[in-house]
Amino acid sequence: MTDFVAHMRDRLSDDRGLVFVRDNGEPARLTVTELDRRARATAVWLTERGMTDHPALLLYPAGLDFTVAFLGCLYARVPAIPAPLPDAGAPHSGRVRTLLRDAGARLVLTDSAHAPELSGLSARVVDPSADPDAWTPPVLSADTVAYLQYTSGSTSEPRGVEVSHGNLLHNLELFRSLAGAEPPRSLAGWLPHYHDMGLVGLQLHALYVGADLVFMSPTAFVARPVRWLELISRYGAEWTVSPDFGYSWCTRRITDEQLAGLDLSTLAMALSGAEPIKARTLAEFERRFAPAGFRPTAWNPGYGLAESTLMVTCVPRGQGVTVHRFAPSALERHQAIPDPDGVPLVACGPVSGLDLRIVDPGCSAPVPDGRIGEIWVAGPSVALGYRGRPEETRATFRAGGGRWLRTGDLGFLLDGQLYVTGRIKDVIIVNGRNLYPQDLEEAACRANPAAGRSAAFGIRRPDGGEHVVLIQEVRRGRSTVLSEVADRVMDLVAREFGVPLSLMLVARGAVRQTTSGKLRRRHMRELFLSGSLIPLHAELEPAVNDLLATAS
Amino acid sequence: MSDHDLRRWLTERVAGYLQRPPAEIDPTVKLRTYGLDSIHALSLCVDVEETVGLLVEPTLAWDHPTIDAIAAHLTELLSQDRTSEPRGRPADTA
Repeated sequence: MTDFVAHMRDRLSDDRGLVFVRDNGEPARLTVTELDRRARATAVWLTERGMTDHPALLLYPAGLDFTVAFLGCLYARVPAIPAPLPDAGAPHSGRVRTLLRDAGARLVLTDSAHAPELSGLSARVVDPSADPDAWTPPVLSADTVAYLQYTSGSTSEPRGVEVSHGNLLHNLELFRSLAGAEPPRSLAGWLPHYHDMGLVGLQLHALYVGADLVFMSPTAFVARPVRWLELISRYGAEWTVSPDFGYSWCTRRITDEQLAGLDLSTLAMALSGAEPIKARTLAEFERRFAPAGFRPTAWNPGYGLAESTLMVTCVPRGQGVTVHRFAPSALERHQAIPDPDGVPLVACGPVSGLDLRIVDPGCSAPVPDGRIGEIWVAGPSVALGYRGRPEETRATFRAGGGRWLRTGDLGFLLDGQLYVTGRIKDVIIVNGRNLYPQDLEEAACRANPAAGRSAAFGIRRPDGGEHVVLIQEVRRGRSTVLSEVADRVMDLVAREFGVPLSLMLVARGAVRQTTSGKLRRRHMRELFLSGSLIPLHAELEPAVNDLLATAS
Repeated sequence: MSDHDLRRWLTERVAGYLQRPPAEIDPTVKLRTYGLDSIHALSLCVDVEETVGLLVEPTLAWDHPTIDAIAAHLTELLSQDRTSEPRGRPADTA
């Protein structure tokens, strides 16, 4: 089978379905047969409007309506673009317009509750009364674009990854093979549907393998993380997915009283991905939830990215966690040398179903095992490219003679396992969420229009978490004035992005560019970490101060 | 809860999220300085709802950025609660 629609329709069932547990605890259910019926009705409605092959932006709250609309788009050969609902009145609504323009999308779909606030975008609600029996399957091939996954939240440089039906089926087959001979009967999770791991790893994965899906909103999870583990307990879920942050948040927030009511003994697979995996998070979660029946063999650490649909590597069922320690000084020299007192790294699984090589990012030559380089991937999961951006597509998706995807991530292979050590692309990951330097810089500029250039980058704190650093050029001035400026910038960025940051104000000309005017963020990061930047004013997190003190 | 108890409780909650000793949190310093993020900010709203019994805006920790400011805001809400009709918004069921 070459398309997701035919694959899914081959497995229609009244016995299986989706359960969305609302924030107030009430479950909403939909059988797979009913989901298919509603998706057909949506497809008929879209086709009647001449939308075939025209992308549509999906702005939905967490819930079943998104899944119906997403499948409806696939059923109508309309490339779907999942995106987060903009906050009412927030400056992020400009981002929605940028996405629409970049994707060449004319249609915005939403649910009836959000249509009024999105009227400025002419958002439409699908008419549920369209006749599902009027649907005829569209011609779909492995190369047909199924959806666009936007990897940048940037208002200036959005990039939509074109994922084809062939990419999707191949990647979902990788997921299926992780479980071996025992396919999961139910999946549970809370990841947002506009996140690649929420969309593919949770929703489409469940539909592909014919499992039940029980899910909840990300907000409900953050507010009360026990609800996620209660879903697993109540529905006997066998598989879940989350970034590292989700597991550590449970360990920190769930009380002894809440723990007593949990039963995680059904959980055979707990996938961790989408951000660096900390050995400590896994060990602490294991210890905390062992009394609830959580088994350490359930862990499946993995590595992936939207440009490869989702998964690149992952530890298969039952193999548990491999943690090795490596000498930090050698890691800095791009070598992995085992050291019992060194930095712990979690293995992200063997190479299977895709080709993978580690290359020297400078000369693109493959490096031997145990050497750190850029991770390159090739195979049917590697997406078609960035929509409407042939140059960036060539640079990222057509490396090494044409078939290799440059992931921008750094890692090494050892004993057949992939270890991820860092990245050379600019994205910063905090709590499983991707932050783009351009967006942070743009906000910093809005907070202080008189400023010169800004450069944002992430640094690794001693506890393994990532931290945002912003360098901004200002005119020299009295320290009281500079401190007010810093306060304004930090207030705005912290509020808009919900992340703490360290700020350094520097003199004009201190933020470096290339001769063609591109910001040299990695260079600025090196200057910052080596203590070579001269601050006019600095507000640094204590842990960052300590880092700099060690450097100098 | 008295104003003093409220501040002590807030400090303990925030220190817990940030994994720091409560004594390190200065009630007059902006919480973002200590690394407060959106996850912590939302948790604080939940804790306020469950322990103090007040429904607050999810932007609480950004609109009132220090322990002192949050305590003052909550005290004001509590006094309004006592003097007028019960206020607050219905729980978000979206």
